[in-house]
This record gives sequence, C-alpha cells and structure tokens, in this order.
Amino acid sequence: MQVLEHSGNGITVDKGEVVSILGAPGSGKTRLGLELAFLRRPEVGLVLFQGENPLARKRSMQPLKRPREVTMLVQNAEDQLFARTVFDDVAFGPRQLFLPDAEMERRVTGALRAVRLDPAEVRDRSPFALSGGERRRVALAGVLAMEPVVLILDEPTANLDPRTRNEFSDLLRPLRHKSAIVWLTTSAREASQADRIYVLGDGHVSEVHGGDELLRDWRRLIPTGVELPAVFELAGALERRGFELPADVDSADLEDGIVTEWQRRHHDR
Amino acid sequence: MILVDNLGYRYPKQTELALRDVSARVDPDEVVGIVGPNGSGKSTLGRLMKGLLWPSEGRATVDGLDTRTHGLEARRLVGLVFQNPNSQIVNAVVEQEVAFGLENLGLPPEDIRRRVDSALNSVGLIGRELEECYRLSMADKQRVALAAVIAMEPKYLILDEPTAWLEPTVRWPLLEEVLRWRAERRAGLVLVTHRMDEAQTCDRLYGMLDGRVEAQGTPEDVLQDRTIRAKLALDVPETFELAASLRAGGVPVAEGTSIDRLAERISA
Ligand SMILES: Nc1ncnc2c1ncn2[C@@H]1O[C@H](COP(=O)(O)OP(=O)(O)OP(=O)(O)O)[C@@H](O)[C@H]1O
Ligand SMILES: [Mg+2]
Repeated sequence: MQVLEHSGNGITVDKGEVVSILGAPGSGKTRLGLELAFLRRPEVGLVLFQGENPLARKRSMQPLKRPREVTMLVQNAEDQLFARTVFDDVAFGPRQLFLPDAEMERRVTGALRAVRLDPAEVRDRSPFALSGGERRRVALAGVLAMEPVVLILDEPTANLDPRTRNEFSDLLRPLRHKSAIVWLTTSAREASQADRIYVLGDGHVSEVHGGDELLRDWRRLIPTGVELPAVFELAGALERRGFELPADVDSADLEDGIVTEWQRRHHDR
Repeated sequence: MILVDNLGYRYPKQTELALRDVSARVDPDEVVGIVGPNGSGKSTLGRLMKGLLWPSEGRATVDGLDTRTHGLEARRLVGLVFQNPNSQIVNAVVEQEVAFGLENLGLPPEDIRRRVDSALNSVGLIGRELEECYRLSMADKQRVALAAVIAMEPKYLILDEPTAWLEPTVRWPLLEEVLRWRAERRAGLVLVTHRMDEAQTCDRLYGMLDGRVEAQGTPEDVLQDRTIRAKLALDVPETFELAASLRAGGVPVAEGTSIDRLAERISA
C-alpha cells in the first residue's frame, strides 16, 4: 500500500519499506526530505499522504495541517535536544499523542534500545552530558518513539561509529512493520541497504532496484559526487587520467579491470 | 609535546569516570589518530589535551606546561576544533569568526588580515568572508571553525571529527590541505575520527574503549587486528585493503593512501 507520493519526481513510498534517496550534499536532498515531510511546499508537483494532499485547504478559512504521521529527523537533530533528561527528550514527541503512561514507557525504552543505548543507564541523564554520537542516538530515538507511518531521516549516520553505521539498516529493521523509512544519504554503500533507491543528480530523480544494480552503474554515479566504495572511486579517478575500464561490473571485476589495464599499459612500454 | 599521564577524568556530578588511566603523547610534527566507539572518551581526551578540562587524576602538560597551573600558556599552544561547529562559532559573519581569536591577541590589523585570508584560503572559503555563519551548511560551518583555529597558528592542532559533515568530494582535498598546513609548520596533529581511511594516514593511533586506551600503535597494528577492530567497533580501512589487493595483483602501489594518490601511482 502506498503511503507517500511525490508527483513532482515520481517518488513513492509503500507501507513498511525502506527507501533511500542518494545524492551529494547540495543536490537538493534535504529540500526533498522537507517536502516529503510536509515541512516545505513542493517546488514541482504535489506530495500525497495516503492518497491525499494534506496541504490542500478544504475551506479557505481552514488552517493548514501537516500530518503527524510523517516525522523527520533533521540533519543536526542533536542540536535540538532540550529536555532535562534523556527520557523526557525521547518522550517529547509521543507525549503530543496523549498515550497512556505504560505505552510511553514501552516506546521510550524500546526506542533507546533500538539505537543501542541502555535505557537504565541513560534515561535520567541530561542530554547535554552525552558524547556527540550518543546525542545523535537520542535524537534518533526521539523520532523512532513517535512510531510514525513515515519516518524521514536526513543523513542519520553522521557522528556514528563505524560499527553502528554499518549496522544502521539492522537497527531500522524492528521498525519496519510500523513505519516506512525514507533514508537520505550521500553514501552509495548506505543507500544500497534499502529496498529501493532513488538517485538524485542534476536536479532529477531516477529509480534503481537494489544495491547491485546501483553500483554496477558506477560510471553514472561518479559525476554526481556521492560517496562510493573505494574501488569505484579509484576507477573514477583513473578514468579521469585516461584509463579505460569496464562498465556494468561488480567491484571484484572492476578491480580485475584495473589490474588488467595497468598490465596492458605497462606491457606497451 | 602534549603529554597526558595516568589521566582520570570525571565530569561534574557524574559518578563514573569518563577517562581512566589514560597515558598518551603527541610529539610536535606527528599525526596522532584517536579512534573508538561512541562515548569511549575521544572528545573528552581532546578537551583535556587542550586544557579546557582539568584532570581529576594525573596530569596533562603541553611542552612541559601543566594545563592546570599554566592553563593560559598551555591553551595558546593548542588549537581545538570541536566536533559540532555549532558549539564553536560565536560570531555572526565568517571573517569576524576567523579574526576573533587574533583580535583578542591584540595583533596588528595587517597581520590579522593576512592570517584570516590565508586560513580562509586553506579551507576553500575565499570570497565568502561576508556571509552569515548561521546560514551556512554544517559543512561550511565546519570549514569556518577550522579556519578560525588555523588562523591562530597553534603548535598543536586537535581536530574532533573534522570531516563528519563534509561532502565526500571535498573531504580529502580539505584534509590534505590541513595535513600540508601542518607539515609546513611541523605542528603536531591529533585527529579524532570514525573514518578508517583517515585513521590510516596517521603516524600512530590510540584506540579508546570505555574511557581507557585499549589499543595503540601504528595504523596497521591497530586496524589490521580483527580482535581489536571488533572490540573498538572499527571498520576495515577500505583504501588500505584495496591497495593491498592491487599489490597482490602485481600493481606496485604504496600502502593505503588517499584515492587520488593511488590513482596517481597507478597511472604514472
Ligand atoms: N558534559 C558531559 N557531562 C557528563 N558526561 C559526559 C559529558 N560529555 C560526555 N560525557 C560522557 O563521557 C563519556 C565520553 O564521552 P566523549 O564525548 O569523550 O566520547 P567520544 O569518544 O567523543 O564519543 P563520540 O564518538 O560519540 O563523539 C561518555 O560516556 C559520555 O556520556
Ligand atoms: Mg566525540
């Protein structure tokens, strides 16, 4: 079932899926995220939530209302922590939903666990007395605890340590039966962990099915300025220096291609 | 030399030590990396080296100056760029921010101008002197924070995740600019990082875990060791693995450096 649709560029999000939007910084990723979250009017087209445009007024006097079911973790979300304790910070969103205490408790501790923080250890601490990465995790827990229908994450892995970054898609897994996730990222490796991928380049959006297909088309990704696994970055740098390398290959074959081309050039001399 | 000796640190009103028994040194003219999981004490160690925090146990000195008893002199020798540029930038306009520390030192205006220009040049912000800081992207804020510290020409430079917010295409060029700046002055550099390719370029690494130094040595010692990697939540340095695998294929590349250097070598 489709929960979100951006008619301006053909982005659709189905219930429970993880969709990534891959683009270099400055490619308009954040603007797109804000549009999908109804925090900004779309420049082109309409954004529909469950088939309706929540920003359309039914009567002229009616105030505009963005749906609570769509939540966004903004880029420097850790700067917006404000409560006295970690618990209160994570609970802030769900409190707007007037949930019973037991449900609040379940959501907050569940969200803290999901971001690999020990609820007992951190719940009463001040969010200001945390490390950079811990603050980011608390900010993330805050949006997870809302259990929104759609969760939009703008570069959520900045500041996270390598393991947590690599396991980030696992960390999102328990959420999937509740929320659809839109993951904005500059890294092809991260993007390829999603079910479906949209690539943003030159202001337009194209869809790719799965990580393999994404990376096999590495030559198209190079000029977009997104972060690629090292072998593809190297291939790009070598092509700029006149190397001829195979297109439509996986990383192992590309590496072989580099070795072969080096040998050929070396032999010619 | 920055020297911390059996250092312990407890944040105010906390029961647990954030750092325990940490001994480490940074020589002038070397690049020291600090790696480890979130909350392991990297930033805290950086703040103690800069003298922003005082040890609860043990001692921290910069060129023999105790950060507790000779704080002002010690802090002048060390520049620290914070993990989050929002907690560093205090001025409204880019060039004000970069000139701020220099003005506080009472330098003549010509000197200030020269240093500000040179620092802005190093971070690629020439022509953007009059932009408002609060409007900048996180990446550009990070550049401003870096320029402000470089302009002070510190003898030791501590960068706390300086590239966390930088776009992939400028991350290495900017870092290489900083490394060049450092090499010219023979300054000591401390690089706190979650990026293994950056850690790979350091002369030595300290691996932190739960407030202790759990591993130390050359990048190869620390990053090639599977057990250490697992314990410290580290990753395989990609360019290093790639270089090793290309070497195995007969391509004579040096140990893992940046992509551009690899490409230069292969296409030479
Ligand atoms: N201001 C503070 N008050 C109290 N405790 C703090 C404060 N800042 C950090 N801590 C705690 O001290 C420990 C070390 O934090 P530190 O910021 O040094 O970690 P880090 O290695 O830099 O982590 P990260 O990779 O997330 O930046 C953590 O347990 C953290 O929660
Ligand atoms: Mg830190």
